[in-house]
Formats: sequence, structure tokens, C-alpha cells
Amino acid sequence: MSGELKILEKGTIFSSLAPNDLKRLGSLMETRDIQEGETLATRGEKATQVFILASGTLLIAMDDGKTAVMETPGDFIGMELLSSKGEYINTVISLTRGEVLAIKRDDFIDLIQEDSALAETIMDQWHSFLTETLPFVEKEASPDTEYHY
Amino acid sequence: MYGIEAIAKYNGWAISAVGVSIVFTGLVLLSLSISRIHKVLDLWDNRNNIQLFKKKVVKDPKPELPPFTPNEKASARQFRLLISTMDDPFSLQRLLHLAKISGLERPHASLDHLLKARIIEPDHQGHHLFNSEAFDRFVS
Repeated sequence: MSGELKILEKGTIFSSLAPNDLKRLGSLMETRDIQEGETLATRGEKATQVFILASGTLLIAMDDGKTAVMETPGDFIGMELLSSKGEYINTVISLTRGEVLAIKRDDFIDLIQEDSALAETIMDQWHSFLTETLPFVEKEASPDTEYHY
Repeated sequence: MYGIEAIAKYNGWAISAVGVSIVFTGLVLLSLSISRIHKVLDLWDNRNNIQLFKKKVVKDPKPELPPFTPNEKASARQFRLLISTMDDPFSLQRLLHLAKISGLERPHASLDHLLKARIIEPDHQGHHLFNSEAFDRFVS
């Protein structure tokens, strides 16, 4: 568990969470090995999990041909995947072997719904992350990716 | 002369006031010191984490990649051929698709290698660019 928390602390999205919130989030995660070429999520399919990269490289293929590459431990692959209809809006492919921390989508939504302060912190950090590192995602994907609290 | 009269005559009130002040000041300082002891102990316990005393480590954000193997060079050349058929900037997911249908060996890992070598770089608009200088450095 401590290794998973360290990965959460490394990421932009979760590094500002209080230790208790990190532990709550950590308790929902399960470590999953990923293989080279494995598809973690497919656009249009029912969204069941969100992911936090622990090691390896992930390619996020968007609807319009745009692509994001996630390679920093702690990178969060979630909000941009999940539409309010509960479907993945992007396809996520692993370029290398590695590990992700997977959280069930419903557990993640329950967590942020029961704690509005936590939800606000995560969403603020998420928007900062998008603006700084993936500005093209924020402009086009935000209207469809907001959760209904 | 005795009692109150003597006290007043020889500055007794002033002396006692000074004495009381000195004692109270001492007690206040002592209590403040005791109340801060836990902070001092915390500092001592975490002395290795204090930035002021830490050695500054200059981190290299991207470690230099080892030279490409002959197979990796061949793969990079094949990717360059595919990229030459695409727009500039090009779609990375489209490139991966082309690499897969062209039968390139381990297209995912090869693409990752090119990204790490900065032979393929993001344009920060969702597409990617081919970096000829990096290609020449690693492959030619």
C-alpha cells in the first residue's frame, strides 16, 4: 500500500490531497500488470475503471486522431475517459510492459460524491493538469466529461 | 520605623515590583520554551528532510538513452518511411495503426523507443512531429 501511496503523491492530480484522503483513495486501488500492446480501455465501451500510471507508457487515442502519451508515474487516466453516460471516450493502449493502479469507476465516483471538498480538489488539479500538459484535451473534451454530482 | 512606613521609605514597593516582574518574566519564558519543545524535537527527528541542510541534487529529467541496436535502427527507419507518407504533424495513433498493419516487429515498443529518444515529439496540439536531428543522432 505504501508504494501505491507514493505513486499517488508523485502525480499532479493527487499530490495535494490530505494524507487521510490519499489513504482512502489507496484503499480502493488494485495493482494491475499491463503488457506491451494491451488495450486497457476502448472508446465506446462501458467505462468500468479509471487508471493511475505506476510504470510504463500509455497511449491515449482520441476520437479526432489526436493522441496523448502518458509516461510519468502518478499520471491519471480517468476523467477524460469517462463520459457522463458511463462510456470510455478514448482508447488507451499500453506501449510497454508496466503497471497501473486501477480504481473501479463506481467506487471513484462514490468517493468524490461523498466528499465535496475532495472532489473539488481533484477536479481543480485535473483541470490544471490538462491546461499545463494537454491543453488540446481540455478545450475539446471538457463539456462532455463533467460528472454530475 | 517599622512596617509599611519602612517599606515605603526604602523603595520596598518598587523593589518588590521589580522582583515580581523578573520572576514572572522568567516563568513566561520557561513556559514558552517548554511549549515549543515538541517543535524542536520534530525538527531533530526530521533533520534529514530539511531543505536547508539537504544536498542539492541536479536531476536529469530524461536519462540519455543507450545507442540503438541494429534492430532498433532498422525499426526506426521503417517508422520514418511510414511517417514520410503522412501529414506533418501526424497522428500518432494513425502511425501505430500503420505500423501494425505493415507488420513491423513489436510496433508498440518501437514507438515507445522513438518517443523516449525524442525522434518523435509532441506538437502539444495532439499531434506529433518527426525530429530529423534526433533521428540522425541515434540512427544514422
